[in-house]
Formats: sequence, C-alpha cells, structure tokens
Amino acid sequence: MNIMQNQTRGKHLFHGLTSCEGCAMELVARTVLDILGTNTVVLTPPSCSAILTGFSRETGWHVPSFMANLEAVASYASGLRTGLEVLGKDKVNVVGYAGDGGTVDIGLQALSGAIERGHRIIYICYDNEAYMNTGIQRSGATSLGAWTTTTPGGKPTQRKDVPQMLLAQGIPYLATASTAYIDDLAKKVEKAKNTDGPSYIHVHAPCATGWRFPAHKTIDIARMAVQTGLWVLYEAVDGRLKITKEIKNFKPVEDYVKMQKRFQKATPEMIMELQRFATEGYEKLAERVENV
Amino acid sequence: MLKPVNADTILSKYGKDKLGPVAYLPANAKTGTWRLHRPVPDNAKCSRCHICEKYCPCAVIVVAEEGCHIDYTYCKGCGICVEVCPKKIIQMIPENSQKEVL
Repeated sequence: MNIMQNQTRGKHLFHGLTSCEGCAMELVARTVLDILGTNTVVLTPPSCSAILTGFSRETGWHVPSFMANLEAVASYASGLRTGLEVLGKDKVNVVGYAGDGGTVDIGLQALSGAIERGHRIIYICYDNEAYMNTGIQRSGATSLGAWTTTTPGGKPTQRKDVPQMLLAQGIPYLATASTAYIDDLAKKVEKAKNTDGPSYIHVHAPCATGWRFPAHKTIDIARMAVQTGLWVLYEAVDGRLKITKEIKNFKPVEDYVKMQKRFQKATPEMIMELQRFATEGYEKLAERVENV
Repeated sequence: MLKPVNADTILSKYGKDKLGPVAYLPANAKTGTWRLHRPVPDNAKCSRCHICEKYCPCAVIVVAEEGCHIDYTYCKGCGICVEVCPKKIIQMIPENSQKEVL
C-alpha cells in the first residue's frame, strides 16, 4: 500500500525529514498544516524547525517556506503579510513557526512589535524548554531544576510566562496547547486561522533528546505536564480567558519529574517549588476565569 | 492528494540560472534505516480508531478499512504508536530478528 497516496493527515510535510525520532515539533507542524491547508506560507528561524525548511536545494514543507533570522521571525511574517495584502492575496495564512528560544528570548521584541502593529499572522511556538538544536542550552522557558549543558546543577530560576505577557499586550487570540491533546490543538489552530489580527499559540512539545527520556514516552510526558498542572491549557479570545482542559485530580509533580533524566540534579526544594508553582499557577488562572 | 514535485519540470520552466537560491527538491532521507525496533500492528484486533495516525510524528501510518499500515521506508521506530494505541495491538519487534514479520 502506498502511504503517500492514501494519507489524509500530515501530508503538507514530506516524509524523510531528519528530525529526531519521536519529535513533537514535527508532529505539531503536521497538525498545524492539516488545519491551515495549502494556502499558507511558513517562516521558521534557524532552529529545530529549520530541518523542516531544509538546507540547500531540499525542503520539507509542501507549502512555500522561508528561513528567517532567529531574532525576527515575527517581523518577517508581518512584512510578508503586508506584501501579500498589497497584492490582494488576503486569504493566505502567514505562519511563524519558532521554538522557545526564538520566541521567549531572542524573538520576543519582534513578536511583541508584530502584535502591537496588529498584522494578521499566526505565530506558533513549540516549547521544548531549551535551545535543543544547538545542543541543549538553557532558555527563558527552561523549567526550574532542569539540567541543560549550561545549567549542569539544575536551573535555579523559574520559567518565563510569555503567553501571559502577550495577553497583557492585548492580543486578539492566544492559546496554550499540548502535543498530548492533538484535537484541542487543531481546534485552536482553526480559531487562530479565523482571527482577524495576530494570533499566538504556545505548544508544549517534549524533546526526547534534550529531556533525556525514551522517545516513545513523548506523548505520555506531555500529558503528564498537563495533568500535574505544570502546563495549563487555556485560550483567550479578546482577553477573555477560558481553561480548555480542566483538571480535577492533580497528579503529583514528582511523577512528572521522575519520568525525565533532566531532573536528576534537582534538589527536593526545587521539586517542592515546582509543585507550588503548578498548584498556585492553576488556581490563579482559575480565579481569573471566574472573575471575567 | 500529495503531488510529488518534479525538479526537472521546474528547472526547465524557470531555467537553472534564473531560479535563484530556492529549494525545489523534497526532503527524502530514508529515515527507516535509523530504526532498531519495528512496530508491527495486529490488524485482526485493530478497531480503526485512527489514534496512531493522529499521533505519528512522521505521518507514516494510514488506517484504512483493512487496518493499520505503516510505511517502513520512513518509520523511525520511535514507538509513539505503541504507547497511544488504546487496544495495545502494536508491538515493537527488533529489526533483523528471527521472528517472521508481515
């Protein structure tokens, strides 16, 4: 049976891409493109997603793609969007597809500017919690207590909450998603597609290589992060917050931490702090939902 | 349906010199060679729920009426399909093992 001729999902990316086995980034890219369709232009920074954009004469996307600077994916996207509008091609989706380094650290000013200018772009951040492509260096999104090559004893500080920063800026559509809840992610991409203005989706994407766990556990770990409360799935349409995956019985953060070797150096205090962060973070969000 | 890009057609249409620095070849690494274990579905028990198809990062699984098909040319053998299958009908079998596959 010819898989390529019969596949209904993930067909906007070619097969034979050299991302790691069990790569959540590739799964997110395929899901996003399934919803957006062929009328899409994708921009990636030099990151793990550059593997999809390709090198030399090869490309992985079955739609037009472009490799932007690491600092300026959102700026390129807004420029491209304006150009397309001048040409009358309003229906084309412009997607920025960057990792956590290219979003929460290096690309933050460009993203903030693009949102402020109000271009109709879809920015998707796959968050693997470190600079994985260059060899696992810490980023602003790295979790407290996590090992990276630049935090050998576990990262001493907590992660940056970029979705909340952008929400404070007044973005029309913002959502967090997880690789473990693919249908939920697909719905959010659909909403982002229909938003008139900038939209941002932050997807939690476990990395088997950098987080030191067996590749088949990718989905389980992503699900565990949601069920412990460390990663809350919510969306905000015009600032109105709504939790899309409510958790009734939280699992202990320790279960999530034990699944990954990157937390081996974390002290018991760090794990307690993570637990506090998970519980309080979820409660704070839930309060804001009720108040709206 | 996916239409394969024909590099020759593109080159003859635009001319090799005029094309500029653009990519016109589809990525096509035979990633199946990375695999140490091969996922083998038991199609008699498959309920056609399409969950493995949804979660396969490389999109090499197609669930048809006959059951679950995996493209072993590109399957990297990550084993996500084994974990997400609600009926646990996919098994990982070592490559080059004596056990008869397919």
